[in-house]
Amino acid sequence: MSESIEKIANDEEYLLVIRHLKKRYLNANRYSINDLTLELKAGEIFGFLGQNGAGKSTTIKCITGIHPYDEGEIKICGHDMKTDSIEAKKNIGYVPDNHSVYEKLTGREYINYIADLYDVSLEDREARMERYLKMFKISFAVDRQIKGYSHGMKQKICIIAALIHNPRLWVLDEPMVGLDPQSMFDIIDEMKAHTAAGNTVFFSSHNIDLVSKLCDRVAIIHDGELKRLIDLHEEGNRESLEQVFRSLTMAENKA
Amino acid sequence: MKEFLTLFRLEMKSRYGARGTGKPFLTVLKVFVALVLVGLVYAAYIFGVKQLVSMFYLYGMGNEFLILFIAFSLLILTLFGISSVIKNLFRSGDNELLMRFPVSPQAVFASKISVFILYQIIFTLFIELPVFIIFGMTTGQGWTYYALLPVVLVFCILLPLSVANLLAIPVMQIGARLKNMFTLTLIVSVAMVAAGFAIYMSVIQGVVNYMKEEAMSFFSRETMGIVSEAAKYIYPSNWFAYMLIGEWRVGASLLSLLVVAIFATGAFFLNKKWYLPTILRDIEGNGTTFTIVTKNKKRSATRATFRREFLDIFRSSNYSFQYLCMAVAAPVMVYNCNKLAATMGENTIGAVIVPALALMVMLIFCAIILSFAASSVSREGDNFYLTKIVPVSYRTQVLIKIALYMAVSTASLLVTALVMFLTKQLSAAYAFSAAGIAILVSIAVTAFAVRLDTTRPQFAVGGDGELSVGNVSTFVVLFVGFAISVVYGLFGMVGIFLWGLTKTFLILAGVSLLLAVAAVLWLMIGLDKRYERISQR
Repeated sequence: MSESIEKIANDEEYLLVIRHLKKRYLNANRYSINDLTLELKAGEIFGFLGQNGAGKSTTIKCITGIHPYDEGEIKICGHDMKTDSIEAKKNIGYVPDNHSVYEKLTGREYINYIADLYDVSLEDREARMERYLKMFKISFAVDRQIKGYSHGMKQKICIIAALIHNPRLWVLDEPMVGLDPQSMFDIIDEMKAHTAAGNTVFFSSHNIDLVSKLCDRVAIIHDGELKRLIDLHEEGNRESLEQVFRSLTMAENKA
Repeated sequence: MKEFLTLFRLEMKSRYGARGTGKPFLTVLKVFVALVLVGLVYAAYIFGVKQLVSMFYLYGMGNEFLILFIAFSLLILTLFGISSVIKNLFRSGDNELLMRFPVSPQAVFASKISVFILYQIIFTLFIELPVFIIFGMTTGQGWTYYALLPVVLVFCILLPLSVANLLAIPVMQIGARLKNMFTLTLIVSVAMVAAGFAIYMSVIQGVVNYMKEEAMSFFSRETMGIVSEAAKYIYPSNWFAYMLIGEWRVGASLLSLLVVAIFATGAFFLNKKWYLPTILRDIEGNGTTFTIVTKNKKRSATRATFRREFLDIFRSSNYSFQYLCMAVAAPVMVYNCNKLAATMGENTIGAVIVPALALMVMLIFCAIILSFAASSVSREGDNFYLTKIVPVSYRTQVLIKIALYMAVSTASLLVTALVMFLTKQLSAAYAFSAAGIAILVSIAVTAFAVRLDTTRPQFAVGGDGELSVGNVSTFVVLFVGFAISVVYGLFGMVGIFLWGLTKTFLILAGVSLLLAVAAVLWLMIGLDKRYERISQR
């Protein structure tokens, strides 16, 4: 491990450190992620933009421990995903793009199951559950079997389960797909509240408008490679984000 | 017609397409092994049928046999038909997809029902036809019997098909009402499996007695009277049989034709009117679910995972049947098998081999129950990602699953031992020793099964989140489990004569312990790395 990585990983300012990440799927002839390096600070909302197949979901799956990776390093709150994965995972809350959950359980059983896995105290889980159920307006369905939930309700249960242990790093893969406008506003509010408490939100999206309004920083990825890291607080960057995205991805497509 | 052919090809492709290993030698080997196994089973079936027909004929009950056989076939085909019609016609995974395309519901229906008819033709030709031929030869039937046979065979296909179509919709509705009554469903399943198995074993026992003694041991005079009287009223099987054997031929033929025509017409019009509305309603009501008001409760990660795994099995009628039902019904099955095995064994080499036979039978049922462990990872399906992201080690998660399988199989084995002891099939010491050996083998089989599934899981789940295709590892575990059972059984029988029962059981316990340790080591070494490599794109 290089000295610089060790220095960054130990720095409390960074909740997520990705260094020189390389991932190639079995039997694939090219890397899905090629030498990706990112550092996410505490208290920021970080957007991850890219076309379909650019490597967004693969990166997220490596961060959350779903996929193994070939080279590089991922550290969550200083814990290495390869050597200290349990501690690293304790700090992540993940909302998948397909919102798969154990559908034979009820909403309450599922959230309690996840809370048990993260060792959340009864008081904390009750308080958080009540808050989120109210916020997402699904208290009426929490004792129903998830199998009968709508697409949006499953998404909301996934979000509540991801937040039940109040993770330092909240990772969302395409979180707004299939949600009604009010639920989208609620998630945006919760993202802001979560980062205001010193945590970090990392999410992938195709919605450039949303990313430009909501995020502090954004990364544009194309063909598994990081093309641009943009600080949206710098003047003009929010307004030009769409243009930059188009120029980066279109130029590559033409090439 | 073009629409129908396209959909039919699609249906066949979705069932049998793209299933090669890519390695010609392996494919040929698999086909060869499958053919040999099927050939052996088929030869045993033909032999059994010949014995059964001879037995009935010898006691002047040939016609009754024919009626009972036709009734039994019609019942089996109807039950299979109802399940197939519901599964393939009304609840097929691609219904929702096909409804979006400009294809008529009639073409969808025809393409799906054709596959089912094809299965019925295969069943009729390979299972029913030999019985009719053996019956004809044994009882010396004339040319009219063989001339009318194709007509009866067509009736035997059409009638169950029509009845199944008529009953499918009401059965679906009853099923929807019972869907969430998990305990009741499990109890009914266990009762049905145990009763079905007990009846089956009694018939086999009768055949065995007949083969051994060639005396009227299966049928008492009273039983014969009941069977003869009952056969007269088993409609329309008796009409089909009368058609063939020439008893009241014209009347029976007309009535048979009439009953088949009525049911077929009824099924045709019912499906014409209700097929589309029913599948649309089913697609709409796919999420029929229950509500259970529970309190929030903190559990340890181990307990929570154990509970979740259990609920996942318990709340699925498929998994519950495959695993829990078989485990609960196992003691009844082992008792019956032991009874039969003892009867067979006693007359050939003596009662002393009964403990070895009992152990073999216990191990066979263990293999059936524990083959479920070979889909422990695969069953996670789309939720597999959750096992990767939670802060619980893979090793712990796998061990919790094994603990559940072992808890259920151990309980089942101990109850089996108790049943064997209480019914005086074995002494307490030998019954529980056999259970002990079987528990050790169970550990080995479970570890082996989970090892296979952690190496190559298959996450092919259907719309209900349950495995939609047979898992290769399950078949491997079944095969290995059966092989171990036979080897143990044979070794036990020989060992009893060579070293006595106690020493034989001690040797088997020692070997089982070694097997268990080896299998657990094979599973645990490199487990984390293997589990980490599993990924779904």
